[in-house]
Amino acid sequence: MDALGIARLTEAQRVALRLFMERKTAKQIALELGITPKAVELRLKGAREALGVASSAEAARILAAAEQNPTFRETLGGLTEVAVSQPFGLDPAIESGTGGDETARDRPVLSEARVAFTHQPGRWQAGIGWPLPTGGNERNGLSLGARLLWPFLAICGIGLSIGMLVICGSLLSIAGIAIEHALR
Amino acid sequence: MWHVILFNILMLAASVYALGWGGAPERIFVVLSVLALYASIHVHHENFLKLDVGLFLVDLALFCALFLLSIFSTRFWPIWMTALQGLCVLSHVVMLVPLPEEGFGYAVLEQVWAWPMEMLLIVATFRHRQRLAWTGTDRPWTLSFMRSVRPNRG
Repeated sequence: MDALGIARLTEAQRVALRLFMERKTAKQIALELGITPKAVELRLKGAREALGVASSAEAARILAAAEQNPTFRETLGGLTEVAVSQPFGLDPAIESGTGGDETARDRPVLSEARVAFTHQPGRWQAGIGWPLPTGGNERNGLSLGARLLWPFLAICGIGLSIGMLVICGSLLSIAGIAIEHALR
Repeated sequence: MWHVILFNILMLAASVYALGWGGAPERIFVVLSVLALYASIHVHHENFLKLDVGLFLVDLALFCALFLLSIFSTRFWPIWMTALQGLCVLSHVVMLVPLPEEGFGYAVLEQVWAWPMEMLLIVATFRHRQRLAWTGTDRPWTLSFMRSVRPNRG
């Protein structure tokens, strides 16, 4: 694992990669962070260059693997200070989306990564979806219809479950009394 | 009365945690629940021996507010809070059914849902902190115009 490369990543690039790992598009990441999609793209580009990989998906996977590895995190802690003057840092104007090269602006955003994640469900779930943080969907991406429907389905589910428990408890109590009488 | 003391401690702990460390939806829930509690204390006079219309209206208002929160929030927990509050509203229909010791049953059914709601608030705030630590951001609302000046921390 390229510890030096990861140490070179700026915090902004890491945040972009983490959100990218949640299968968000540049537009969604931009909305989340309150920056432009172009700035997101440039952060991902900087991350790719720092890690020496061709795709943002690969960069995101490398960072995720590194951050899940405690030994690597310790090594990274030492290296981060060394890499403060990292050569892959972006110009602040570019980072904020006010500048940057035309090539990056015109390129289809994150297309290579979309291909890498096409086998997984998107953030905005098809159908009604589950009202739970499942499948990497940490945030609620349910449609308006699902949001309107789920509270009532949950009321029915919880109500029926508790009702069943009360009925079962009552039946067991009755059965217990009956058995006690039978044994006397 | 031990359960009242225990619930007050739980509510205080959950509210302080959510107000101090939670995002916008968690804080709004705390404000709503405190307002509902305050209103409940003022409108409740019936000792659960017959349908308490004032309490029913307070519960219904909180249900509607939570329903709106579940529509606009990027969190999952408001859906479950709304469901639990919905059950609280439905508990008032118990008074329409002739049951022995209806006062006790009504009181229990009307109040029991607050326990899982406070526990859920603690879990929700904890998960909000986890998301902040992991991604550095936790957008609170589905609509961009509802963002505050510091949108990414909400």
